[in-house]
Amino acid sequence: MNLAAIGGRLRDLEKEGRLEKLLGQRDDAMPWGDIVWMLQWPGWIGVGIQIWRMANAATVTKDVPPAEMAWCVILALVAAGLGLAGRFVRTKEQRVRQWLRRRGLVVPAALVQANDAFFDPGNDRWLPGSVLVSFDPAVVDRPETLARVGKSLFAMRRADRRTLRPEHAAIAWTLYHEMGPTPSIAVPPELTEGLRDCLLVSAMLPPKPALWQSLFVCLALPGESSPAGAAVVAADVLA
Amino acid sequence: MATGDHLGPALTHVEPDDADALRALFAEQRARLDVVREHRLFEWVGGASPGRVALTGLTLQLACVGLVAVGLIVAGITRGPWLWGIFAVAAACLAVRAALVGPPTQKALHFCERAVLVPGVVVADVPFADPSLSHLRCAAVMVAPGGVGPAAFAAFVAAADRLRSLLAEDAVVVEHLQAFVGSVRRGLAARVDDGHRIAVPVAIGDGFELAHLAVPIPLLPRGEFSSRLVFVLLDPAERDAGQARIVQSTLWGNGVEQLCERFPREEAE
Repeated sequence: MNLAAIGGRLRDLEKEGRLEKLLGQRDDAMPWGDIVWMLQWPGWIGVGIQIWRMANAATVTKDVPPAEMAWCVILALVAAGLGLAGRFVRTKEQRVRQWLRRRGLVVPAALVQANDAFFDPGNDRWLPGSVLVSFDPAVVDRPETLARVGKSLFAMRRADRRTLRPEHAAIAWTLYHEMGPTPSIAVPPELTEGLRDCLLVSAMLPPKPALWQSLFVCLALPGESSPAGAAVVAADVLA
Repeated sequence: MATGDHLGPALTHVEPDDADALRALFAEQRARLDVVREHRLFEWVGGASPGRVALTGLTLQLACVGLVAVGLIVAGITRGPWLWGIFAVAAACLAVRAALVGPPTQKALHFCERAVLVPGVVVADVPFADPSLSHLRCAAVMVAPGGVGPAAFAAFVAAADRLRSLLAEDAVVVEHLQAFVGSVRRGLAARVDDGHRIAVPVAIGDGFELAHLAVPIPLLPRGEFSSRLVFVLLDPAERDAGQARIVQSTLWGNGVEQLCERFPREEAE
């Protein structure tokens, strides 16, 4: 399957509402946006009850008091407001994840480093790691370059950071301390053999990642440094 | 990284008598804490959760949501006291939650933002009575809240070892240290692990403190409690409970496994 076809498949999954789970994007915290959005339904039930009460009263009095009508409008506004507010009561991370699923590009990613357990033959867990993503269209013709750059970045973690240029030292330090998730770092072109728009991304790796030309398949937002702005796609997503 | 602490060598092993390596290790530890703070990765230092009240807070939040949902339905039935009563109780839930969870959360955050990582030596440890806590040990750990420079590192460990010998069952304790040694023994017997610290008598070492802590064995190097050397995250300005904890060994830095191996722990029981 080529990258464009994979992109189409991911868009279909997003339309079906299944992509979030398949990308391993889950919230540890209470999803307040969803809760506020769901509260609109009791609000609409309240509106329905109010309309029913007004209708009943009107059959007797042949009139609807303005106060009742105004209350009905207020309830409807509250319910509609909750439905709208649910979209805005989201953390930046939740918003980035949503943008990623809707506007993310499917790009190849080279493994730079991963938790040791990732390489266990029986591993069945999502584990943290670092991948190198390139948005350069040329990478499609040079996948082996990306893989090679990924390996050379891994070697940088053992470098003496006092001897490196500051931007290289930042990359070496990120790989060395292994803590995450940390924001993605732009990798300078002198380290990428000419590939442009490369990002070192802190990502969760699925136990069986989807592969393209021996590289991981990654959904990523160009220019987004949040760790939520990229996700490695699992093989079973494309099954 | 504004401090430049991250600009160091890639450590593979650190010897206790190698001042340069120790200096690099301590700088690396500070840089790792900077990463935690810069990106608010507080789960790496045990989290900034308010502790036991967190569940109560969550329950109150859920109660508030449920009450609002009921209130929205009731709003279609009445605009009377029942409706406003429900919303008042929902608001009260949030207020109680803020009062219960707010201060401990602030305290935990404050700790995560201020605490420093310092070497500690386990001078005595005992298992917890509860078998479900077999992954923890209750320990008395000597620490230097002001930090220990590479030159003073050996002296610090030696002072801790003196204290360890005083805590041995058959130790003869001089009179002016009996009260301190007795209080440490009582703390261990009562399995106190709340992170509070007490000053160590100057006769043992100047500027040192003793912390009562739980040692989380899976978070130690190689997941084994085989070394008496640990690294403790503590707030130097606060000695109260909750102001010291042993954090996972990723924060201790690379090359620390070999350093710990130089200070093996003698199994107490």
